[in-house]
Amino acid sequence: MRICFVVQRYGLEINGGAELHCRWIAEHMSKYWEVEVLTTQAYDYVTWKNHYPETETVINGIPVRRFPVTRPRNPEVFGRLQDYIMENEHREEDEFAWLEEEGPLSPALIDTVKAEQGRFDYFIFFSYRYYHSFHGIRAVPGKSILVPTAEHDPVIHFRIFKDLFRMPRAFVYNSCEERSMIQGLSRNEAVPGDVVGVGTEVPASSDGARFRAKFGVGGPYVIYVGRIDENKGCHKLFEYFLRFKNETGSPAQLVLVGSTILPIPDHADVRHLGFLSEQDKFDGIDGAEVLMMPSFYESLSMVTLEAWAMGKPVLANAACEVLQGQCRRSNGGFYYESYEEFREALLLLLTDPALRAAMGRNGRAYFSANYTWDVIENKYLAIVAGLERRP
Amino acid sequence: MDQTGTERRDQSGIVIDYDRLDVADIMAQIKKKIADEPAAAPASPDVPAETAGPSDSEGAPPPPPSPPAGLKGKLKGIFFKVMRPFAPFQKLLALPTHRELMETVRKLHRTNLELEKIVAVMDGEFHRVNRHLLRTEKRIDIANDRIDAGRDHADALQRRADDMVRAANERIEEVHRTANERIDDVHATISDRIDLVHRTTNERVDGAYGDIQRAMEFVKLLHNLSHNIVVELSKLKIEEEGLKLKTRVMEKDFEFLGRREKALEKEFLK
Repeated sequence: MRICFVVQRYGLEINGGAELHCRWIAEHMSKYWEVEVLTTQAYDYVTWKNHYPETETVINGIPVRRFPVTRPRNPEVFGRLQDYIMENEHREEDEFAWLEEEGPLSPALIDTVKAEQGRFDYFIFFSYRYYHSFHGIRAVPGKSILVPTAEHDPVIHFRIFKDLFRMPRAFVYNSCEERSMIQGLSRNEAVPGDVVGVGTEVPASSDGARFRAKFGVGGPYVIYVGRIDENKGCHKLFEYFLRFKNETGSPAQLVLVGSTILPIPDHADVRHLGFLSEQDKFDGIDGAEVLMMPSFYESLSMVTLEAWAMGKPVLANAACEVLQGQCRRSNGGFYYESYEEFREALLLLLTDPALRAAMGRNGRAYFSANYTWDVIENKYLAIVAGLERRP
Repeated sequence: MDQTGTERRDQSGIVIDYDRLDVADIMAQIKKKIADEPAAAPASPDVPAETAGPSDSEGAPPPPPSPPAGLKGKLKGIFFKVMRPFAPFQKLLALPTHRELMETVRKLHRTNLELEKIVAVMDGEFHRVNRHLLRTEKRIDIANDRIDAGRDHADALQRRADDMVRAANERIEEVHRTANERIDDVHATISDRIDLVHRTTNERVDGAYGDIQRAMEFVKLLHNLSHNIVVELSKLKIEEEGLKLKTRVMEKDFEFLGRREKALEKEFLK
């Protein structure tokens, strides 16, 4: 069976989001299918400027074809247009204009999808909100499978997406909450789909003591891993954590791992270590008491799954329905809606080792049942087999 | 900390079942605890236990203690009498009630600030909604005009549709009448043809019936003939058998006579 993955960016340097999700799935499913990837030459997700010079390459055994972005995104123009659309009544044409600005604008990619539909049995599109998915699915609706990676983002309410969600042959959702949201918006219950998500692997050995020694972290600490950004709720995390320290006198430190676009508070117990290697990251999670996940919008938090795989409890933002739902289903994490809930939940986790251990066990069991690669691969195979049965 | 099996009550009063951990239940307990917090604040350790007793909650101040005996006691008695009208004020100063009052005032101030903020936001929202309403009203007016125009157009279309339906009905009636006449003609022709065919067929059937009757008689005769032939043949067969038997007897007689002849010849020749 020949399957084509279509995604906005692709490369070993891209280590997060839907792009990494796509690469992992493509690499794992290449055991069963003949896999190819169509993507753009962009690396920067803000401007989509052409970065990769080569048009054809092989990455970890997967043939990848890159197509040029004809017009890079102008963040100012895009921001103004998005603000206008969000705040005013608008027409469908405005939403199409927004989609063109959203990009990555690569008509050659869509032309190739259309021209080569005979070569592939199915096309798996990642991320509903980009140009390639929208026009790609319209080009080959009968052969398309959509991995929407949707969040509670206002743009999902655009009219153009309601029709889009009824077009593909099947959906691969990341969470039950994402499925409910998309079905509630578009009434696409007739389109088959399953909640799959993405698997992850944690190293066989990780050592919190090694992390402490290497980075000079002493005492108990909680950890945040990911882009340090207001969109990820980090500003609230700083505010709540410092207030928590003042009110409770807790000795816990906050360790931040990842690149930042926010100023880090100047406090002795807030440590920013920057971007770390995978081994250091896992060592850091291993040594932490709790993983903090303050993001408001997540379609599927890989680092949360990694923490559960390592038996660590999670404290998540309840405003993110996906995280809250996963915490409730796994019984592996708490969630907060206000500072008071943050304080009580974190205090409970930091002062009760038995509770941390029990939540860690639950998280690990939830991960094993739903997010190991065997489970994920079988779900993808079952979805495609289901499509083959119903012509 | 209370502990019962795997269930434990935390210092903060949260009950946790470690074997069957229920995050939703723990979060509900945390929410309840937070909701209960403001009500529990006055009973904090800052307030002495005796000041929080039920007697303090009543309006009347307690009677002053009875003065001790002697001059000192008399002076104290006079002092207590003079000070008695000020007893509630004294009590108010002596008790930590003013702290609660101050705290309440601070809270009210904060609440006022929050309310002002909310009012400012609501004001903005109100103006925004107002603008929306005005725009919507204008659109409704335009839509009403369009609906009126649309209604006239719809009436005209209805009249045209009625005319077309009437013409179509007349045409249908004409077609229906013509069709009926043609159907009657065709019906008469077909009936004549059917009668002719019926008559011819009957004649042929009658002829065939006579032939069949004759054939049946022949068959009967042939059957009788066959029967007689069989009877005659049987008789002839029996007769043949009798004759064969007679022939064999005569053969034996001839054989005997032959042997006798040969014996007589021998006797005669001797």
